[in-house]
Formats: sequence, C-alpha cells, structure tokens
Amino acid sequence: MFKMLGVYLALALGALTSFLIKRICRDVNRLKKLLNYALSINVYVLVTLVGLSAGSGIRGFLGVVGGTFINRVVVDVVLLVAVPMAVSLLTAIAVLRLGGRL
Amino acid sequence: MKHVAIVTALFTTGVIVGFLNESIGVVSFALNAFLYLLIFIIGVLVVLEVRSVKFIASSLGLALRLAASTVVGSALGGAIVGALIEGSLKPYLAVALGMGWYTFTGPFLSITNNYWGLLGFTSNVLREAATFIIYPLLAKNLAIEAISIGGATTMDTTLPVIARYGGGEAALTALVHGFILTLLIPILVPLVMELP
Repeated sequence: MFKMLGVYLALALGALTSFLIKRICRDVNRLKKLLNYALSINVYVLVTLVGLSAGSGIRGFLGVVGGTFINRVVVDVVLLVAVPMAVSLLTAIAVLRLGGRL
Repeated sequence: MKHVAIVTALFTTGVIVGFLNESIGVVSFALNAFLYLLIFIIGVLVVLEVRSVKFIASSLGLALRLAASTVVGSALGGAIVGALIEGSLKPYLAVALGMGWYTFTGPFLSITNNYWGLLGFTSNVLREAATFIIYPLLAKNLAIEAISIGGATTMDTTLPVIARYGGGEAALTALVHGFILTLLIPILVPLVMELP
C-alpha cells in the first residue's frame, strides 16, 4: 500500500510539473525527446535492479524449500509463467478487437 | 532485438549477482527510489501527450476491459497448467492469479505451503522479467493488448518500458490496469485458497 501511494504521489508530481512546463517551456517537443531518452537509458538500470532484487528473493525461497525438487520447480515455473501470460494476451486481443476497438 | 539482448543480459546478471550476494537492503532502497524517479518522468510525459478529456476517458474504458481480460486469462492459464500437471487446480490458480505481484503472492502462499510460496514468488518475478523482454517486441502491433502480460506490474516496475515502447495512451491504460489488478489480487488469491 505504501509503494502504491509513492507511485501515485510521484505521478501526481510529474503531472503537476508537466502543467508548469506547458506554461513555461516553448519547445515542448525537444523536452519530450529528452525525457524519452532519459526513460530508455533508465529502463536498463531498472531492469538490473529488479534482477538483483529477484535473485536475492529466489535465494531466500530456495533456502526455505531446500532445493530438493529443482526439476519440478523448473517445469512448474516455466508453465506458470508462459501459459497465463499467453492466455491473458489472447483474451485481451479477443476482448479488445471483438469489442470493436480496431 | 538489440533491446531484448541488453535487457536479458542485464536481468540475468542482476539475478546471478543478487542470488550470490546476501545484502540487498541497499538494492531494495535504490530500486524504489529509482522507480519513483521514472514514474515522475512518465507523469510528465503522459500529461504532455494528453490532448483532451476524451483521451483520458478512452484510456480508462480500455483499462477496465483489459483488466477483466487479464484476470480471466490468468485464471484460465492457471487452470490449464493445473490440469496439465497433476489436476490440483487450486494452488496453480492462486499462483497464476498473483499476476506479477510476487511480493504478495510468494509470502502469502508460503503460509500454506513453502513449495507454493516458492512457485508464487518465482513465477511472478519471471512474469515481470518476461514483460520487460516481450512487451517491446509486441508494442508495435499490440501496444494496448500486450499490457495484459505484465499483470499488476504495469502500475509500477514495467510502466517505464510500456511508456517508452507503447506511448502515452498505453502508459495511461497500463497505469489504471495495474491499479485495478493491485486492488483485486489481495482479494482473489486468498479467495482461491479458501475454495474447497
């Protein structure tokens, strides 16, 4: 819940800053390009940090389980990642396209 | 493809280093601080791209339909995996309905069973990681529909990728989609575990 509040606070601050920028800045497109560039670079840092955090979490959970069922874990995890993602995507395509969006 | 290679390499390196290193207090703090900075940038970008109130209303409508698709798709996916593996539907359904929120699903399921806790954590971490890799590949043709693969993470960690590759409308839709799922997951996962 605390993280969610942080996200919405950061977003609201960004939106407020954006309104100010629209009033002050003449060349908004140039600023947009700059922000998009900052976003692309920072996405890489974010992915690395998420990886570090995930690695540490997996280590913690494996420590609890004991690492005895590693084969079963791999099969279960691969299926539980791939199948729900694929079915979600297909459902979204069906709902949004049949719903007349495209 | 270049992006996919870089993201995969960085994420894998991160997981290996994180797995081998015990001290993550600093990483956790840095991750949250960095995420807030990125979301601030996204807030600026989204508002710069908002053209009318109609634009916001259309994004909200899309997000609602998309969130419903994600819940139904994830539940169906979990049920299929449960049927394929051993016929024990309930835990697989609960893990799939975690929809990327590993910090909730892992610890919650480990109360019942450590193995389900491990699956809940690992599967949902990897769903988030896969979104970083797959979304940029799908964004060109399915910028809105592909948001559903990220589940609840589209509100925070995967939002920067969606904003970068999907644009302003996708970012706004992803934000609302992630928010709805974040509210639903703590209700759905315990509800599934309560089933007879």
